[in-house]
Amino acid sequence: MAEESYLARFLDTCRYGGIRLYANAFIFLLVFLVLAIALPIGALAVLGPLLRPSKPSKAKNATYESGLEPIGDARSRYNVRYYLFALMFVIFDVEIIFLYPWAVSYHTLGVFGYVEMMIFVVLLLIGLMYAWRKKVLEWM
Amino acid sequence: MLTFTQVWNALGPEIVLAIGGFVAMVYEFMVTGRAKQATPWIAVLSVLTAIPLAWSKLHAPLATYSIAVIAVDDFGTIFSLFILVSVLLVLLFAIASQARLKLAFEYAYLVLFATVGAMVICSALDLVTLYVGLELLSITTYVLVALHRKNVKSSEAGLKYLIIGSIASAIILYGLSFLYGVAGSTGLSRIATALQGGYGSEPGLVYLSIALILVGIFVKISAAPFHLWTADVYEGAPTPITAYLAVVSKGAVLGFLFRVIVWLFGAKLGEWFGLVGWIAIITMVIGNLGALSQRNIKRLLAYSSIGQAGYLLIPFSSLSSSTLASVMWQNLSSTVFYLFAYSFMTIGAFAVFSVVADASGSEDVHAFTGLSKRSPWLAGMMTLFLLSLSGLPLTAGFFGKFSIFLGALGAGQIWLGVVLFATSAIAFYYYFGIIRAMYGRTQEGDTPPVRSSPMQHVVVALCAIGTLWLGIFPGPVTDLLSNLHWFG
Amino acid sequence: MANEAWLIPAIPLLVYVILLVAGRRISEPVVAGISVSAVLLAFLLAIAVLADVAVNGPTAPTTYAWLDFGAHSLTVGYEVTMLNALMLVVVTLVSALVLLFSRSYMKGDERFSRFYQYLNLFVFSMLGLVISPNLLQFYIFWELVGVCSYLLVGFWYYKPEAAAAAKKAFIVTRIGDVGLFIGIILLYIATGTFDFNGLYTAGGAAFSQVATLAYHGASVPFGMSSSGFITLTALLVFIGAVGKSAQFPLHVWLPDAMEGPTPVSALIHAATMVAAGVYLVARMQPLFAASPVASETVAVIGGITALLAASIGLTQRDIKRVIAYSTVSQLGYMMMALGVGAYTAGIFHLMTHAFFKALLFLTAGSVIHALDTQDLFSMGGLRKKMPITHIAFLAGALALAGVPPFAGFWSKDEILSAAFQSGHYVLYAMGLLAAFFTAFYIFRVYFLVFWGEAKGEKHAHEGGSAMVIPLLVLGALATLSGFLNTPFDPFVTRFLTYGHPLGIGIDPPASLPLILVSVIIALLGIWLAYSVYGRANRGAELAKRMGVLYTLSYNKFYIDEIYHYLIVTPIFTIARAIAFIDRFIIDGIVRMLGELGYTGGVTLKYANTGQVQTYGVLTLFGLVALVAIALGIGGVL
Repeated sequence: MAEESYLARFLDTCRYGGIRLYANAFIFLLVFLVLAIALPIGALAVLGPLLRPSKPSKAKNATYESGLEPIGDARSRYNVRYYLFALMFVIFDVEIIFLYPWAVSYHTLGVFGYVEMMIFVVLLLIGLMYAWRKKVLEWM
Repeated sequence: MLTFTQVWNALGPEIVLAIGGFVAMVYEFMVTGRAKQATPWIAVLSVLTAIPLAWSKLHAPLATYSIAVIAVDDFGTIFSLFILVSVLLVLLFAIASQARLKLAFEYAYLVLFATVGAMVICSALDLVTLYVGLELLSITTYVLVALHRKNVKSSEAGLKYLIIGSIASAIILYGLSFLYGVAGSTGLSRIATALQGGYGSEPGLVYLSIALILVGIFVKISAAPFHLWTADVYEGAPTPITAYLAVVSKGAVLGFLFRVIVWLFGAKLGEWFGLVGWIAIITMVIGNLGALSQRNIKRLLAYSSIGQAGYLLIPFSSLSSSTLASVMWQNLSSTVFYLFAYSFMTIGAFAVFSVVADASGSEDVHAFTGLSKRSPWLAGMMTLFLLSLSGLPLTAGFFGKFSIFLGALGAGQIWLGVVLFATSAIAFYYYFGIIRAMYGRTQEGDTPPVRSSPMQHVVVALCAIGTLWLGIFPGPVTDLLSNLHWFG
Repeated sequence: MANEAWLIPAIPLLVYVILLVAGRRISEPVVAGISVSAVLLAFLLAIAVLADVAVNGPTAPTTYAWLDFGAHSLTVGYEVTMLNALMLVVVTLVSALVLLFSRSYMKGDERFSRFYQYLNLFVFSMLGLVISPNLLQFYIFWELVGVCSYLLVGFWYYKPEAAAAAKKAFIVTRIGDVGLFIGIILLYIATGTFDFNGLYTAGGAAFSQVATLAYHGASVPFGMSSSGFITLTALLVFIGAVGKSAQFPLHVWLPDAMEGPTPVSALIHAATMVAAGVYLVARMQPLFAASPVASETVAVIGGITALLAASIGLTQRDIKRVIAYSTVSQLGYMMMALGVGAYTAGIFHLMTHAFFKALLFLTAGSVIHALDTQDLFSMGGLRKKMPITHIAFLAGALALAGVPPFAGFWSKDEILSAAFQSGHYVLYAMGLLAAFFTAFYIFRVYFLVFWGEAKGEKHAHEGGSAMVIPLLVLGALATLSGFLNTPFDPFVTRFLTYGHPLGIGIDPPASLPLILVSVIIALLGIWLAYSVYGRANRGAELAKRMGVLYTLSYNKFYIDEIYHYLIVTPIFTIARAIAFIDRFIIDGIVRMLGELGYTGGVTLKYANTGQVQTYGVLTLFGLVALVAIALGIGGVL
C-alpha cells in the first residue's frame, strides 16, 4: 500500500536525518521552472538575435520557407465524432492497463480480486452496450 | 484481506444504488417508447431499498476496514440518510416534471451514480477514495446540468459548471497532495498519526493544504466570494437537477469538509474559526443581499441557497472555536438537522416553482401573481416553504436556525448568531415579495390556470410534511441526533 | 377553574379549524354566529378564571416537555397570573364585541368567512400569548399575532396601499422582534430558563437588588457586569415592545395599518395586539425594576411617543389615522407609566384604553360604513342621523380626553400623578401637553363629524343591531370602567398586587391639585376644538397661523421619509452595488487584465469572451487571498 511506499520511507529517512527535503523538493521544482522559462527566452529572444545575421526578405518571412502557400485557417476543426471514438478508445485502453497488473498478480489477489475485476469489466461492457444502443458507434 | 461480508457491511447502500443504477441504465437503453418511463422508478426502488439498509447501519459497531478506506460510523451513516432522503424527493420531483420538461431518461441513473459518489465522500477514510467519490459526484452533475442538450442555457450552465467545478476539484486535489506529501500516506488515520495530533513537522505545508481544501470546498458549496457560478448554473440546469445541486451536492461536500478537516484536525482547529466565520458572514450577507434584486425566481432561490450555505458554515466555525467534545457534537447535530430541514424546504420550493413556471412559461416573479386564486393549495405550500426558509417558528427552518444559533452561542460566537438573524430579517423581504405576488393583486387575463399532475402534489406534500414535522415535533430527530456516536 | 384556562384559547382555535374546513359552505350568519358565541363562551370562562384567581390567587404553571436540544429542554404550557387573568377578560370581551360588529360591517364581502377565520386565529394567538408561561412560547405567539395582523391588514389585498401597509407593518415590527429574540436568548444564557417564573426566581435577588445573576452556575456572558447585563437585556426586550406597541421610533407602521378593515383596527391595532408590547414590559416588570437605566428609557420613549403622536394627530384628515395616532400616543402613556414604576396604572390604562379605543374605532367604522369616506372634511351633521353612534363616540371621546367621570380620566390621571410624584416633572409636563392635544384632536373629529352641516348626497343611517349592540356595551364600559380603580377604591390595584412576590406597583395616592390641573387641561382642549371647529370650520385659518408647525405635524414630522432615505434606500443601494460589482467591476478587472495581455498578443480575444473567465479569475483571487490569510494564521508568512 501507499503508506509503505518508497517515498514514505525516503521521507522518513530525510526527516530523521534532519533534512527538510520535502520542502526542498519544491525548491528544485522552482529551479526547473525558472530554467524552463529562461532557456527558451535566453536562446531565442536574447542570444539568437545577437548571434545570427539579420537579412529578412519576403520569401524568408513567409509561413513556410519551403514555398508552400498557406491555405485557410490554421485552426482547423475536427468532427465531434472523432472525440467520441477517441474517448471510447481511451476507456478500453485504460481497461487494459488495469487488467495487466491484475493478471500478473492473479494468484495473490484470489477470488476477491477476480470478482472485483469482473465487476470492472462488466461495467465497461455495459458502457459499450450503451454507446452501441445510443448509436454512438455509427458515423452519421 | 477483505471479505465480501465486510464490503457489504460497509458499502451496502452504495452497492444497492450502483446496481440499481446499472439496471436502470440497461433497462433504459434496451426498451423503447413508453416503456422507458419505468426507468426512474427503478431508481426510486433502489433508493427505497437503500434507505433501510443505511438506517440499519446507525449505531452499528464502529468498523474501519483493514486497508482503512471506508469508515462505518454514525457520521457517514446520518449523512448517507440525509442524501438518500433528498435524492428520493429529487427523483420523485423529476418524475413529476418529466412530462413537461422532456428530461432525457438518463437522469435516473446519473442521479444514482452521483449519489453513490456523494455517499462515499461522507464515509471515506482515504484521500484517494475521497477524491474519487468527489469526482464521481462532480462529473456526473456536470452532465446532469447540461441534460437539456438542445437548450442553450442548459449547455452553457453545464460548461460553466464544468470549468468552475474542475478548478475547484484541482484546488482540492492540490491541497490533498500536500497532506500526502507531509504524511507520506493517503490514509486519514495514518495522516493523523503523522501529524502527531497537530500540524506535524511541516506546519506551513499543512496550513497551505487546509487553505487549498477549504477554497475548493467553498467553491463547491458556493460560499462567497466563490459563489459567482451559482446563479448561472442553477438557472440553466433543469429544475430537479437544480434542487439536487442545491441540496445533495452541497450537503455531501459539507460532509467532505467535516470528514477531512474535523476528522483530521479535530479540536485543534482553533485558529481557523475566525476565517471560516468571516467567510460565513460574507456568504450570508452576499447571498441575502444578492437575492434582493433578483426578479427571476430561480436565480433568487440560487442566491438564497448561497445564504443558506453561509448558515451551514456557522456550525463548522463554531465547532472549531472550542475544544469541548460536546460543542463539536452539538454543532454536528445542528448541521445535520439544518440539512434535513433545508432539504425539505428547498426541494419543496423548487417543486412548486417548477409547476408554476411551467404553467406560465416564465420564471419571473410575475409567474406567481395571483397564485392563491389559481391554486390555493400550491400557494399555501409555497408560503410554508418560504416561511420555513426565512425561519419562522413552527417550521423546520426555525428549529434549524435556532439550533445553529444555540450552537454558535454555546461556542461563544455571538456575532455569528447576530448576523444569522440580521440576514434572516433581510431574507424576509424577498421571500415576502413572492408571497405578496401570490396573495396580492391579480391582473386580468394573464393568469393561466395551473395544471399539475398528482405526482407533483405528492412531492410537494411530502416536502410539506417534512417541513412541518421538523418544525412542530423536532423531538424525535433531535433525540436521534444527540444519541449518535459521530466518529465512533 | 384556572386549571382549565387552556380552554380559553382552544375555543377560537377550534372555530378557526371549523371555518378552515367548512368556511365556504356555511352562510354568513352561521359563520358569525359560531364565532361570536364561541368567543362569548371563552369570555365567560375568562370571567370564571378571573373570579377563581381573585379568590385563590395565581396558579402554578402547567407545563409539558416539548423537545430536548441536548442539554437544553423546552416546555410548553399555560399559566394564570393576576395580570393575565385580567388580560384574558379584556381580550375575550373586546374580541366578542368586534366579532359581532363585523357581522354587519363585513356583510356581503366575498371573503366573509375567511375574515372570520383570520380573526379567530388572531384571538387564539393573542390568548395563547397571554397565558404563555415561558418566553419562547410567548415569542412564538408574538410572531403569530404578527402574522395574523399581516393577513388582516392586507385583507383587501387588491388595494395596493393595503398590501404595502401589511408588508410595512410586518417588516417594521420584525426589527423589534430581532431585538426581543436576542434579549430572550441572552436571558436564557444567563439564567438557563425561558420560564417567566424561573426568570424571577433565577434572577429574583438580582432583579431587585442588581447584585448577581448567578444561579445554578449560570454566568453573565461577555464578561459584563450583572447590572450592565440586566440593562442590556431589558433594553433588548423593550425594543421588541417598541416594535409591537408602535413606540417612537418604530411607530410608523401603525397609522398605515389602518388600511385594514375597521374592525381589525379596533381589535388588533387598538385594543389587543399593540398592547402586547405593554403587556410584555409589565410581565417582565422585575427585570425592568432592577435596571433604573432601562426603566428611564421606557418612560422617556413612552413620553416622547405620547407627545409626538398626539401632535401628529392634531392635523390628520383621515378619521382612522387620527384615532391611530391617538392609539400610539395612549400606548406611549402606558409605557411611561411602566417606566416610572406605576405598574398598575399602566395596566389599568391598558384596560380602559382597550374599551374606549375599540369604541372609537367601531364608531368610526359605523360612520365610514354609513358615508363611504374616511375624509373628515367630507363629513358633518351626523348628530341627528346617527344618534346612537353620536352618543357612543361622545362617550369614547370624553373618556379619551380624560373628562371625569369617564374611564380614561381615572387611568390617565393615575399615570400623570405617578409621573409627577416620582419626580419626573419633564415627563409630567409632556404628558400634560399631550393630554391637551388629545382633548383637542378628538373633539376636532367629534365636531367635524357630528356637528355642522351634513355633506354629500348619501343618506346616512345607523347600522343594524349587530353594529349598535357593541357600541352600546363598549360605550357603557368606556363610561363606567374607570370606577374599577378610583383613588377611593383601588380595586384593580389590589387585584393585580395580590400576593405579588415583590409587592410592586403600589401607586402613590392621588392629589387633588393634580387632578384639577388635568381636568382643566382637558376642558381647555375641548373648548379650543369647539371654538375652531364647533360652529364653523376655521381650521384652515388656524393652520395658516401655525405655519411650519402645521406642515410638520401634517407630514408626520417626515419620519417615514427619513426612514426611507436612511434605511430603505441604502439597503437597496448596497444590493444594487453588489449587482454592479458582479457585473461591471469584476468584469472590468478582467477587461483590464485583457488590456494588459494585449501587449503580449492575442490574450484579449480570450479574456473578453464571456463570464466563466470572470468567475475563474475571481476564484483565483479568492484562493490567493485565503491562502495568504491561512499562511498568516500559521505564522509562515
